[in-house]
Amino acid sequence: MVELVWDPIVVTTAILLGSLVAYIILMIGHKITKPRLTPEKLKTYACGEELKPEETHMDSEQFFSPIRRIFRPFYRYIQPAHTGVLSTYLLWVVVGFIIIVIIIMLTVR
Amino acid sequence: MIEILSFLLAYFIFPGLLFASVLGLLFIGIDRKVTAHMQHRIGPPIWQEFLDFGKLLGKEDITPAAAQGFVFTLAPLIALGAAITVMLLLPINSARPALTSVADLIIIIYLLNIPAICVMLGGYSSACPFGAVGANRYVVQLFSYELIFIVTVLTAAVKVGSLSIGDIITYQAHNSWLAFKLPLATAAIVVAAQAKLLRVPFDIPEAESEIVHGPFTEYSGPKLGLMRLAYAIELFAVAGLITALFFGGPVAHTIAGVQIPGVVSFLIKTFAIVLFTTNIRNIAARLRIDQAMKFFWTIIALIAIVNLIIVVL
Repeated sequence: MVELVWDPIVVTTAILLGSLVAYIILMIGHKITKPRLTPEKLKTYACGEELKPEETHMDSEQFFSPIRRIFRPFYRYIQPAHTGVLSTYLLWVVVGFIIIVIIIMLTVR
Repeated sequence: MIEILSFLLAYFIFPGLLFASVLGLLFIGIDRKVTAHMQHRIGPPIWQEFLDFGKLLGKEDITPAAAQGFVFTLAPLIALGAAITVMLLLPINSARPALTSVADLIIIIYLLNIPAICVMLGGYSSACPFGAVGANRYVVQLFSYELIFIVTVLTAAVKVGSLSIGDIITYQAHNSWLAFKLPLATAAIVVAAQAKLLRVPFDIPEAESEIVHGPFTEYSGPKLGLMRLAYAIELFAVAGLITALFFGGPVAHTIAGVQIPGVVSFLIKTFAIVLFTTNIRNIAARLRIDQAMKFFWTIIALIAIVNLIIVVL
């Protein structure tokens, strides 16, 4: 078994080396079959329908909707405390940070 | 010079590209065969994934005109690079992996997220509604399972008092498997791994019957082949990580005077974990994304955090 001391540069190099290997595999694929592109092949798949440009990009609702559904009971208690005052908000951030630091200190004794 | 040659040997042959690719594709082939038998089908031969990969390499490489070509092409390349690098950090044959560090568990967690992020980027950049919806679902799913994954790995690290995967294996060699000492964390990490590997009931980002193939919809030819290869290696790496953390990792045995290397026991345990996840994926139905998130952030998070608190106290 090969043993090397870990180094961030070594790990980054390893990722890039793997990417280079993957690129070579991709190029071999291109050599085997040269792409013969036609407008039909380049169209985005949409079950045969014509796509509008706005439909081809992400909708943030897809991301937030499940999170809102899960945390609805939590929001009920949190929303009244959300005054919109920046200093209060920052105070909560500091309190949260202190709690995390205490947990880490207790964990890594 | 010798160090570079050793690194290249580890990278390309064992436990890197060749070893991980062959084992990963073979595990997926067996997974498909077992699934077929559980569904009363004959199923494909276990080497079908090798044939699929070879065939995909010979197909036309098409990038949709509306896609962001650079990101779309780069995603599978980086995913494969990260997946191979994880293999170098896993102890396959002995307690010492090919690349060692004082806190390699953190690097492994970070590297295991890169293929997931690449899949998301691939989906977003494909300019396909199915890809975008799948990538969105994947982000939510990542938020759901990743906390559990980190907490369970941290539980093992706190129990042993080290973030080095080699130390965790050495600890298990002198004591018993951590799976016996941390059963709740073991159960939680297996469920989190199921979601990490997009297996039923957490195949929500690529649900074929709803969103075609999610982030992979527009991928074809060699790029799809690379994505599938990266996934195969990731499957092997995640199962290998669970083996190393909770099931003793590689242990060398001597049977009737014959020395059995550690890699054999490692592969048997890894294979057992893959088979277990195959069984789960065949007896469960797909959850909705909000159901999956609720499941992880309530039941599984509770199990994982309770085990962590027990260990800390």
